Amino acid sequence: MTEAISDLQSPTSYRNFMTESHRRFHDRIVADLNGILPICNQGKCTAADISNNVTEQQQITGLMQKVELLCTHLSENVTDLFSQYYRERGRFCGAAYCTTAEIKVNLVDRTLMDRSTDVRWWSKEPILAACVSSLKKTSKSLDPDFEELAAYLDGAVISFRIPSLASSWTSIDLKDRVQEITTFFPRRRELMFNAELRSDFTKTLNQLLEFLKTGEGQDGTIKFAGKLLKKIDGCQKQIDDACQQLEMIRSTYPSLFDIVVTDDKGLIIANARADRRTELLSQNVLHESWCSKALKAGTSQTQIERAELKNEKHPAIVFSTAIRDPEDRQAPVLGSISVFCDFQTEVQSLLGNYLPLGSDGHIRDGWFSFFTDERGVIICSNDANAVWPGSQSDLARAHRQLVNGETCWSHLVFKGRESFVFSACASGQNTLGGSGWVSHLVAPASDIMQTETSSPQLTLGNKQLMQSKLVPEISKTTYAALQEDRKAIKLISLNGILFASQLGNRGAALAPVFDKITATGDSATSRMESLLVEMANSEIALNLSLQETLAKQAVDLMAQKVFERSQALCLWARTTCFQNYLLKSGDEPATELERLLRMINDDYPVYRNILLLNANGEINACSRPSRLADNDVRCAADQVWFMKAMRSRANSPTRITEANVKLLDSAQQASLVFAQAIRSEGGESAPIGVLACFFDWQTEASEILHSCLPKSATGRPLPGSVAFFANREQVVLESTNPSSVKVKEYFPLPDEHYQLSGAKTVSGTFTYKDTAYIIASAKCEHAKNLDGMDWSAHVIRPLI
Amino acid sequence: MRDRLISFWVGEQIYGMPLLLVGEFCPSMQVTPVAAVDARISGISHLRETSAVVLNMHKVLKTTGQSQIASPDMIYVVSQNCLCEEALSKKLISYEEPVVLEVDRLASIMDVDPGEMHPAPAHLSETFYDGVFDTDAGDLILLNFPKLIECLLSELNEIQR
Repeated sequence: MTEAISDLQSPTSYRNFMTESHRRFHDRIVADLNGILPICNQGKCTAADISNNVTEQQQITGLMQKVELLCTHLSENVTDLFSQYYRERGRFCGAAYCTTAEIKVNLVDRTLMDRSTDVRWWSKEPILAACVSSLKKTSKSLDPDFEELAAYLDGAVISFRIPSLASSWTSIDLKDRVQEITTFFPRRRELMFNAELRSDFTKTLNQLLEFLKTGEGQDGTIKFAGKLLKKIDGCQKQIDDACQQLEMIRSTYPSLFDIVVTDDKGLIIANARADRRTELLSQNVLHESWCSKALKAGTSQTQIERAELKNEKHPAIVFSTAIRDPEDRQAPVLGSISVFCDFQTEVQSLLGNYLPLGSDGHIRDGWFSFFTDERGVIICSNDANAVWPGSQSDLARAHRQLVNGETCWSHLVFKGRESFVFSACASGQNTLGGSGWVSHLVAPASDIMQTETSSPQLTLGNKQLMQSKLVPEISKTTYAALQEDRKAIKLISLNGILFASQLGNRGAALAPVFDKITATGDSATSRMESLLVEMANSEIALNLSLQETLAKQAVDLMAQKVFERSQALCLWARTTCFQNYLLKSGDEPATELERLLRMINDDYPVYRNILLLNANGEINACSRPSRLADNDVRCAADQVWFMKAMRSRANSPTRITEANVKLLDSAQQASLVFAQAIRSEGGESAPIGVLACFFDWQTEASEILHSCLPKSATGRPLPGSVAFFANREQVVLESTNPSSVKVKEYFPLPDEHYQLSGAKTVSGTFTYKDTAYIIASAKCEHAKNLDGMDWSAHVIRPLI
Repeated sequence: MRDRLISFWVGEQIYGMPLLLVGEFCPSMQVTPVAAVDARISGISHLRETSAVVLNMHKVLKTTGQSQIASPDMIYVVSQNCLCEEALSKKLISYEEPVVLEVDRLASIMDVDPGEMHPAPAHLSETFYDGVFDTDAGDLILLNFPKLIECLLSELNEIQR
């Protein structure tokens, strides 16, 4: 699929990438400069014609030689200039697109971590633990129970007496019935899961019991068999409850293929997908590594691995962990929960993000974004038809074997097209050791090197522009050297013309030579100067475009984080223990509940506090009591977020509100509050309370903003650049540099940036505290019920 | 008969003087400062074993702005006895010593018709302005070099007195 055509470490020749206009430009300058050489020769010949004086001849020849040298020097410079332009462009795009690749993989890494935490939380659901332990208990007693049933039936066959001649039954019939029942005995475990089998068994046993009732002395058998049937039916109730719980989770997370719960022997006892239940329940999957590893997982461990699934188009990412007694986390493992995620579908849109669109609205041809694991196997891609998940990526080793936080880019042939590949490995800060996945972004070489960038609207003169921090140092040096060369040619020409003038009529033949040299030198150096200005403008335009992408990425990352958390809150609100507590008087000590909330908060440090409030707005429990501003204030009935949640309809999404929470959180003024109504069983009734989470901007936003700072080719944030989030009042919510852009203070954004509408981006220049900056802004997509999502991200960088 | 001028920029004004008074155009060269001398004199420079006074044209011409040029251009004006035959035949007059003029930027060499010269406007009261030519770069003020030196010397003498 790919073929490396350039060594990553060696400087690549960029001449092949020159645009047609640049090629013409280059050829014209070189031709102009080459055109001076015969003129110089002509000048040397003229020197001999116009003067017999050796000193005069030497003066003319010396001037001509100087011109020749300068022309050769300029000619070399112009070729270097183009190489340098394209090399810089490559380097710039390398830094820019590696950042994009890095952001994507870190976002996915973060998603993996969040999903792992979610799975651990789901494993703590009491219904699942109850189901697993109940089935385990039943399963354990099944052998003695069926042995006892066999003994009862044997006794019944011997002692059964036909009560009257009116009955058509015979002892042979009874034997046949008992024989029929015993055929179910080897499949006794299956009876717990297989509804059809259990129905047959119940029917057959009930018929036998009906018959035995007609006899005498069979009370013991009838009673025992009835008890056994009840026990098996009880299992069914537990399984149904567990499956219902799993179905509910899957309905909240539609990208899940399935969720499977096993007992400690690897037997599947519940799953989320009803259409596959018959096939899956009672299957033993202990041989599957996701199951065996989960059963050995520690209390805070979630296994993540790839698995091929029968009947599914894409491989799944499996998150699995152990199920333990929710009351005693140190107790032995009861079973396992494994979540099969359709990762390809889930991250396909993320992978497609920030790839340029063509005029047809689709991603431009030749652009790909995909992830590979440590073996180079493709995990997911933006175009599964072209870059197939599960196949070998076949990229060069340098791209496959990156370590945490490392990036690399190179020029190669991908899918038969000359392309650039930008790769970045997850930083590993989000998950324990990181996923180790590598994100790759493939772009056609022509798009990277030859796309014309429109000049930004800047009010800078050329000299000021060339002093900009955004312009590479080498361009500045070349510009300065060019000014010197230009001046040198001019001086030579002026001195030449002066010399010709001093010769009077004899020098008349020499004057046009120097006029031509002046004109050609001026034209060549002017062209080179305008090229350098074009390069500088292009550099600034690329920077603006990159900063827009970074601002958009910051907004998207934050929005995704918020949406994911709101999804999780929907599930938490349905947790039975919250419902049970609120349904009780509420006066009972909430020690256990607070322990549970603390446990959740430990897993999800993104929240500053999690509160459980009753229908009157009184705080019944919270995860971090010490963070409450005043312990006397235990009521939030007048808070907007509480009222909104209480007024919400059943099954409505979590309310996200930006609110002043100083009353409830001493350290915070404004925060995002996620609030979800809790309803009693059935879910359609009026709310019985509210579960509210205070989002920690500082922890989340700071990390996201730092990842979205513009970086140098070495991966370090560029000096002076700042990224920050601001709300609709232009108050800074979080900043990467609080000393220059202060948090909780008003920031004077340019009008175009302040008035930005939802999901849009804009970039330009502005002056802040006497410093010229380039600024890019992106606004969060505004959702109707999420008034807390009205924020924007901004990335600024000094221009001069 | 057309005259050939060298034009140059000092601040935002373009000036000109006869080309044949010039011995050489030089890039920025080392100037040795002289203590306790008028600010119009930048110092002494040495070119081809000859010493010459360097005049800061910004100060001589009393322009409003200061030179922002890091490396100004130099015009080496030859002494009267070193004028070429062509200059002598045109009856050009220089000073008895070589002088270097420090200007912001050399513009070009241009041929002008003396008949097209306008008198210097009233606000240009200095006697060393011969007149003004309309050029593409704007109004070019033609300097009378001997008068310029004469004015400078008389002012310096007055200061000394």
